Amino acid sequence: MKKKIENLSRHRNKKKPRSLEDATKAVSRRFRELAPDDIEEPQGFASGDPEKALNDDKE
Amino acid sequence: MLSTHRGAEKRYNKIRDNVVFQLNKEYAESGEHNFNAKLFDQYALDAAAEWGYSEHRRVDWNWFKCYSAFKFRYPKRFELALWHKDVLASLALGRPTYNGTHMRLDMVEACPDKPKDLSVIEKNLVAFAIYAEMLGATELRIMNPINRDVRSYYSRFGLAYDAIGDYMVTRL
Repeated sequence: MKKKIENLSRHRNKKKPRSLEDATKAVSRRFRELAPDDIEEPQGFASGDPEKALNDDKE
Repeated sequence: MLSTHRGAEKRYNKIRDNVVFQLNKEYAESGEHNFNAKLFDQYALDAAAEWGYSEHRRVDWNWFKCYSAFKFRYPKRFELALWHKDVLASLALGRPTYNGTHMRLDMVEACPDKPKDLSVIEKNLVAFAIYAEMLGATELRIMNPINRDVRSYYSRFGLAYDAIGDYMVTRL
């Protein structure tokens, strides 16, 4: 029987699935810490392109 | 609508609902009681239609039209209507890539007349990142940032610009 060989660092870096609650806490903390307090959000903030959003079938 | 599409819509709607529930729980626990996360509904789309009258609006998107088409095509999408004190603060729409490894935030718009000190982008990034994680995606991409100011603002949250794909990206 062949044994599957896996790269050790890839194995270590594999993400462990978190619960929804844990993910919410961790993600909220991450972006809260990064949120800039020295600049304001640009007025009329918008980002994206509806045409591309609806027709981008590459991926 | 195909039954497979309907099945996917139902399955992913459950995940969307769970994420929104958890977001509201997090707002409450962190003392941000004025915020309320919801999925898109007629109230949100009607409120967004009112943005068209604002002189501060930078885009002329028709959210009703976009959402209808997006919803029809992408049952795995994520959508967030963020309310602040019963005023619609932002709308955002995105989807995972076909192989599911990346989550795209395709469109996001803040209420053009929201108070200057009210930030909504952080909450949108959090919501999409959580949904991405629930789907097992490892990257969050903010598609087609419209100008340098917007790119620069996203970069403060640790997102890097990919000029070839025209998106801001961060690993999750």
